[in-house]
Amino acid sequence: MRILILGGGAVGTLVARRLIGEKNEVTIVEKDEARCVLLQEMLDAKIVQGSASSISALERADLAHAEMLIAVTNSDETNILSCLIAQAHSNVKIKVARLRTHEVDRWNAICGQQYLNIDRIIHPDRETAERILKVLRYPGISAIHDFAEGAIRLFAMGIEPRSWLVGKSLAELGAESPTQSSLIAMILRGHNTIIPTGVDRLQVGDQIYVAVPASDFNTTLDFLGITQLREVERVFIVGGKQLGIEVALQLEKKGVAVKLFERDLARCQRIAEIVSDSVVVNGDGTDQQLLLQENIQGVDAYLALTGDDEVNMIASMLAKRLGATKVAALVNRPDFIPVSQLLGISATFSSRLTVVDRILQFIRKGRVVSVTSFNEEQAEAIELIASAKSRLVNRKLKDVHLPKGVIVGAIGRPSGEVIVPRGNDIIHPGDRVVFFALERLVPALESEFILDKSRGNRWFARSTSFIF
Amino acid sequence: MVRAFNLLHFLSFFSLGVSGCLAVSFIVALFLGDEGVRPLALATVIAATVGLVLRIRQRSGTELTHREGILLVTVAWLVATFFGALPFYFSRHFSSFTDAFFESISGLTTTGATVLTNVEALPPSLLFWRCFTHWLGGMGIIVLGIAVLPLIGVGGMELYRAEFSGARSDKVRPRIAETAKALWKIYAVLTVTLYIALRLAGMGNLDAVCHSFSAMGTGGFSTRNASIEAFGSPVIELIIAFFMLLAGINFTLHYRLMVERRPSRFFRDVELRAYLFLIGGVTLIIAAELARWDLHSYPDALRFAFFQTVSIMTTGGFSSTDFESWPALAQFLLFAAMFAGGCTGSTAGGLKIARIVLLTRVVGREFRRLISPRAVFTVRLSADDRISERTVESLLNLVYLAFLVFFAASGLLTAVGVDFLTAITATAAAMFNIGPGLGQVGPTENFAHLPTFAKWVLCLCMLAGRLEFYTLLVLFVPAFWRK
Repeated sequence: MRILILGGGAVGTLVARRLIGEKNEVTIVEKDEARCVLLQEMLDAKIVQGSASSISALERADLAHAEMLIAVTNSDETNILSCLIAQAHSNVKIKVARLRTHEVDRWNAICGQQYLNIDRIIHPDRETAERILKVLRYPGISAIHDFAEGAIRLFAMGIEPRSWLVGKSLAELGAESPTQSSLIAMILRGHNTIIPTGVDRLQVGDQIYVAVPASDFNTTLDFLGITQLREVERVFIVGGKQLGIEVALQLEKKGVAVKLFERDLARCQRIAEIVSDSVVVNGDGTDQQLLLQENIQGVDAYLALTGDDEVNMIASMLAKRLGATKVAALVNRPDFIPVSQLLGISATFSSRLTVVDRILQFIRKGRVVSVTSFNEEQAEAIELIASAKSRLVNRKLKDVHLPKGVIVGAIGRPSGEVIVPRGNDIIHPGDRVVFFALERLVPALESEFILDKSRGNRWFARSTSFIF
Repeated sequence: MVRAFNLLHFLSFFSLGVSGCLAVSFIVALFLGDEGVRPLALATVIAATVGLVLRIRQRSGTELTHREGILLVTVAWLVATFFGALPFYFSRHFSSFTDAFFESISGLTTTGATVLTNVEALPPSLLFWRCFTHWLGGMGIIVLGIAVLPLIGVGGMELYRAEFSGARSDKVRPRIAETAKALWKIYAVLTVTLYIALRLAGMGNLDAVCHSFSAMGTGGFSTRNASIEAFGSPVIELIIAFFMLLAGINFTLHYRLMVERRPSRFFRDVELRAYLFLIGGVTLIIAAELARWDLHSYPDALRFAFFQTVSIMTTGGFSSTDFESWPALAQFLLFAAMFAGGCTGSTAGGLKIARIVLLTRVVGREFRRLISPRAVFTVRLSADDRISERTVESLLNLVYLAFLVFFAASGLLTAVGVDFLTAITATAAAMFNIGPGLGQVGPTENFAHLPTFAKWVLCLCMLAGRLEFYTLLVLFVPAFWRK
């Protein structure tokens, strides 16, 4: 597929790298000359220097032949304008634009109309805010992803030094589990991503991803020793950027007492006009004196959401020491995420990776419902609707030879029934299926699963996914 | 940082590739049943063995670093030259390994300078191999590698740029492998067309194949001692000149015309216009000069002038007549045309027309700056193609470097007793991958009589010129080898 990416910033580059890896022909339009040189060295793509809102630059980038447009420049106006140009000058099939404006709902209402026809608007702050809000109630959990319209939950938790899970093998866990319905889908260990089998043992510092039917979620949390707050009452947010405001607004609605720290006085005043019940504090949210004065002890959550990754990481560590129950940090640079885990910051969020995930859903051919990537994009959770033609359907899973590094995490039936499958279970056409797979196996997996190809069993024996 | 295992991984594939090309010539030899069978078989086996031995220490290559990419290009060319020299060396038609190596590198860099006194004594299969190297080297062995071997991914751009002069920003397809494939396809189509045209003009089968390879690669090796003159046919001269003219045009433009069918993109190109203008101008002046001295009648003067101008300017280096007997102005113009060369992104060598055009514009800008010191001027190749200061800078450096190499190499040649005219024209002919020079290396002579040292200097010049100087010469900078 020929894909045109507008804006060669962090998100554009991440998306491009993934798309090139999947054999697409990618052209990037980037304004900055020095950045162009850098992109040329990094990516096997065509780089066009010019403004994404210039018709002649888009022509040079061969807009007429592009099948998909991804507008991720850092200007909303440029992104919309370029979609407008594409609508008028080409027959680009899919248009995705990133917008940062807080009026995104209004834009969503008009973007589907004839003259603009944007297929998907991605709002990084809103989507990231949603991810943050999901985990606030669970101090031990760093991320929650919902699949099959909420019927299947995947959550991530760190293994703490005093946890009873340390040293257990997955098989031992399985023997003790009360629900017998959840699955450890992935273990992130430092820089490595492991799709585990029954003999793998958990270690201190591991980040594990557990898939579970939503109905068994609470039982499973108890079993794993994760405390749940009955209610989130007090939250500190550091950084009055758009993301911070978005989170504050959402929390207000639920009646949470929010304190938002922002260093710039003028900005504080503007935020105070936007929010209603939240308290805006003019000061440095990483200042110990100030935090103690504002009574950080026992706060339910401390969210470090400034624009600076390093500040967020340090601030989180400080807050944890000062007695915040849950801390979370915005860490946009992917290479910092494993480091932050080493530092004991379990919950990190990256608005860039969120955007990349959302965009990739559109690129996948066939019936992919959602894509989520983990650990520097080494692994992916993919949700698909099983096609009747796939060679995985209507057969017992143990007879389907999936490659090592891929497991079927959950199946959601159209009837509403959700199972974490075992070897004897069968995928029926129309089921929603969640896979966990190492990133390099994804293209092969997709072609095997979506397309009707009987290429024989060129993969090794099925890895034993372990259910507990 | 340079990691040996990584280079060896790529070189093993590369050796196997060269072995495959040698095998093609071997099959030709079997078919013809000449004495080229044994040397070609030996060379094929040796290249294959080296390739396989390098593969034994199976450690798969990783992404190439910047430096590895640069080094790999040069090493790959040297390896290909070495294997390419083997059949010549084993054939005993060459007096030393130096001569065989010279012939091989002259072939791969599409120079076309020969050390053979009697080309026709060589078995036909080796003549085939000689011209085949032109064809492989014309579009570029690395570009071929990128097109055929899927193993070169991201680092490919580095390699591509090091070998392919037209790689500014104008890739015909976003993916480098697709670009390389597209270029090779156009190249192959043009070659086949030329072959058919030559056959229709009455050329023999092997002659037509060899000259197709030679002309499209703008090489210059012929199967005859007297080069194209031997055929004595104006039609053949015209066909070959026309296809050399095509080979000297940027292949990206051929893509625009043939695949995308956008003739406006083709004919509006500034470089192409300058190229055609220069060829036309030089042809007319030489023709007038030839007629003025009563050497030829007007139609003949035009015929010889056109063929020779195209042949020298596109760095082909065929001769249809002995231009050393021409008047001084005509000889000078041909010498000057050597420096200009063909378009960027073509199979031709030389400084390249786009650079000459840019150079004149940079000089023009300097004048305008003197006139209005505070005005800001940008350099443009065409209205929508602004040239960045960085590019201008590297252009000026490249021209400077080319002249430095030119003077250094000419000096070395005179130092070992080569006469002045021969030394400077031989150096220019080698650096810009043309072939024949003037003096003792003119169109009717060859390079055999040069001292061994001079031959090695010229070998280096040919490779440096083919890889546009920086790629090869950076290896002599100590900082390249530091961690």
